[in-house]
Amino acid sequence: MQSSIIKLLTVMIIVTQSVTMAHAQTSVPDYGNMTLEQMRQLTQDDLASIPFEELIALVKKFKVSSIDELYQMILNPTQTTASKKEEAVFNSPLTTTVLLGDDIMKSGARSIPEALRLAPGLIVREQTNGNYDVHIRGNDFVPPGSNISSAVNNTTLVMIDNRPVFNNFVGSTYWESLPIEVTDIERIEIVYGPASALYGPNAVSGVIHIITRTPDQENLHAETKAESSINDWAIAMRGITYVTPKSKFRLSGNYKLSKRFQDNYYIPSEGKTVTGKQVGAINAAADTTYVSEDFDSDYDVALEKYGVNLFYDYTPSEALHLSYDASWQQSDAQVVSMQVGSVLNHRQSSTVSNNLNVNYKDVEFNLSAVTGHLNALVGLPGYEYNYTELNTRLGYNWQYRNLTLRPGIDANYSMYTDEPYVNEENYEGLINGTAELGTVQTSLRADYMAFNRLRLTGAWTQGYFYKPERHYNAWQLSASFNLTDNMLWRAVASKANSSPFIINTFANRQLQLPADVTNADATASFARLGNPDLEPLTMHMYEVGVRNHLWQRVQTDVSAFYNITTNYPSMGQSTQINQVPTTLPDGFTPPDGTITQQQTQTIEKANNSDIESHQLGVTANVKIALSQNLNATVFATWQQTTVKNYLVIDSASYTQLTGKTLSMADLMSNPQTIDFTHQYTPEWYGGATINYQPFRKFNIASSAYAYSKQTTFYTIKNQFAWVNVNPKIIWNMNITYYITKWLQVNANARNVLNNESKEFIMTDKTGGSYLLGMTIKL
Amino acid sequence: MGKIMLVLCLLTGSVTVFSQNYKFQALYVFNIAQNIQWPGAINHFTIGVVGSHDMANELTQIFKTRKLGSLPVVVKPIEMTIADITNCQLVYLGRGASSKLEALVPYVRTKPVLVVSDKTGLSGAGINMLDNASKLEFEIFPSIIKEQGLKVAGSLLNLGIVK
Repeated sequence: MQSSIIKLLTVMIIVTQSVTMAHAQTSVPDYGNMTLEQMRQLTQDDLASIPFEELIALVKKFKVSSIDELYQMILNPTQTTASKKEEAVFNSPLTTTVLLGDDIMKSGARSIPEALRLAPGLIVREQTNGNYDVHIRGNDFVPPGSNISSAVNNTTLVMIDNRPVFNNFVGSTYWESLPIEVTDIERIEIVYGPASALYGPNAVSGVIHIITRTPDQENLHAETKAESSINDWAIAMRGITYVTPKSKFRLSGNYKLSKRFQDNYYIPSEGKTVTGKQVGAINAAADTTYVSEDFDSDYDVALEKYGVNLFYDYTPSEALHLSYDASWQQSDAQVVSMQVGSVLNHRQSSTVSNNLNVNYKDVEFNLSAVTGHLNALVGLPGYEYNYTELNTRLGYNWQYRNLTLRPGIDANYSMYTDEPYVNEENYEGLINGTAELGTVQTSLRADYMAFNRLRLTGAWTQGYFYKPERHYNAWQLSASFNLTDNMLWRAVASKANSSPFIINTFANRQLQLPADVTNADATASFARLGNPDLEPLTMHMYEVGVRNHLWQRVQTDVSAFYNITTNYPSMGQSTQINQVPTTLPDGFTPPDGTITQQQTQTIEKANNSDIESHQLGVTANVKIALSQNLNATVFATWQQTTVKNYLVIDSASYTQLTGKTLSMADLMSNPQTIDFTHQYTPEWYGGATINYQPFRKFNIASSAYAYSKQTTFYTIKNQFAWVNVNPKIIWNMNITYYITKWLQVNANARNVLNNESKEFIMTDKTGGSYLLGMTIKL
Repeated sequence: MGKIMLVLCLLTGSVTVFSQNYKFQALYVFNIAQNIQWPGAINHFTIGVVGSHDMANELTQIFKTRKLGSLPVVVKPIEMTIADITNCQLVYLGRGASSKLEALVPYVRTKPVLVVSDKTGLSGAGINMLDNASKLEFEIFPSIIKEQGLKVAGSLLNLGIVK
């Protein structure tokens, strides 16, 4: 609006000038004080009328401003996730990182989780080739030592274009089930710390927001990239795009196949690795319902995925903008979900999703739905289900002078059913029927700028979990202060919580265990029950940070954070001994009296534990734009996590964890809770990237990602054992050669030095991958 | 909205960030030509452009509606041949062509053909453009221009780097 008026004024002034050329003028355009945008709007004709001396001054200023703007672009891109309105990263009231799609492509990252290694504060561990475990800042594998399923990240909200891709079954993000690939990314915005106030529950440790590309070249274009190595094949069509003045249309597709670096499997209960063929039987022995034939092939395939996406963007006027995405995906990955016998299992997914975003002036609306079929653990009944997730958000940015108020309302509905896949009557499944969850929350965010230097934001959310009926609230407060134009101090306090997950709330699985051979009259059963009264996991976080813009080319960000996570669920076991009537075969006449049997029922139920995780850490990040074609970043996080109130259930664990001895009897009568340093989260982790374009046709990108030693404990061969992950540095290099405007090739080495050490406990070695790729743009 | 488009342009243009912005170079040539006097009576003015279609297009745009003094101007892409070059009043040499300037010099040294080269450190042409990411400047070689029979306006000497 403002720039149109200025343009109009500028044109009017120039017209006046040329008409009254012969006479002395009083209204000479002030080229010396023009902004970059104004300069860009001058036509060639305007410029040809400017006296040479002034033209020279204008060009000088233009070039300097362009460089400045370019550096700003590199160092300080804009993002909309932190405040739900566009602002430069420098001004974001929360710790924020933006990864630009072009930088991701140049770096050679082959997948979205791998690309997250380019950002500070992210712990990314490769489990099998192409499958990663991603955590923001830490709090991973708490409580430790229990089933590996608590290593899963259920506290980070991942979204694609405002559509949450969080799966509510166990509460986590299945990265292989995202229908898009790196070629579809415009940028990834990461916000650290609780953000439920703006994004609903499950934005506990942070938000990773993937924003897809909008085509910008007119008319019809197509771009395809294929890249492969011995272990990996991938082809992605970034898009067949078609652009008209008001509509943009993009079709993209991708296919990827990644092979594991080994084809055997580690079995913790046996403390050794076995071949693929042996796993089925081992798993069936661990859980009688497991179908061993389901684990009979594809031992070497780590990941196979397909995706097709359709993007449609419509901007009929400046006030209204609509965008719609529809996607289909199918995937099969060998990942860590829950330990049966083996730690790795196949997870298969096939989904269709729809996403609508409408922006009308200051109103934002989003409606998204995903429907699909997921088999979270192939072979184990109860983990296969059909589901539907619906999400909607409505928000309004109301601005009055220095105050912006944003009321909002969000709702989510999830429906999961295992009916088509299990025999409900036998309680074979986990849910044995259909389970529904729903959430509604209203929120209000206030953003106030005082004296142009101090910015205060506050957000409060009041929410209701429809199933189970529970209220919750979340909040976020921040203050940021521009000490100087180039220095911004910030302080943040926030609280967020998870939502109920299907398994924890609705599990209802019952198993008849093999009969006890010593007592023919006894049977045993095992029930896994959910707990609708479970309090959601909650995190409180306090953070201070400072951002500095130095010498035009350097931007630094240092943040110190302290977070406390409580209400961890843990499986509690209880035993009940019942006398139950014996089931007699048909036709058998019972003698006098009913025969009863002794039945021992073990019930495993999720309960809130007293366990707390306290994390203190510092992340520092430096971005340098040495020149237009050379830029670098370096980042590192130091952290320390303490787990408190950990209940020790056996004396071996007690001795290992505390160094003291207590007999089993003592422990039973006097349960001990202990505090210890959680060493599963690496004390140090971070990375560096350099991108250098020495000539127009050549781009060299090098990146490194590293973490320090990690130690945790697990039950190996039915005994307490310490498990280690060695420190690792991963070097990557991607060289791109632009042969012509429409053809480029690249040589991409991931983990150049082929450091094979395992990154995730009890999973695969992850070595180097050396790929060649080609991109064709038409 | 414009800012977003700008951001997108800069993002997608990252490969082309090195391509010269001929828009401003063309304006400079236009202004330089206005400050130089050619000898004798000429009834049309031809600008020859060697090795740069972008530059030729930009110059054509400017001279569609403008004249040099009272002379209409024709802009045409030409080859690096003596015949083509000596038929023009002003010749612009693109980056690649500028490297071959030395071979050209003997043939134009005494002819009224203003040569504008485009390469840092080059001498032999009357005007040499310096166009990099952070600045656009031009060098003037008054002795070469004088030997060619051309006259430079004093004001131009104040605006360029005199060599």
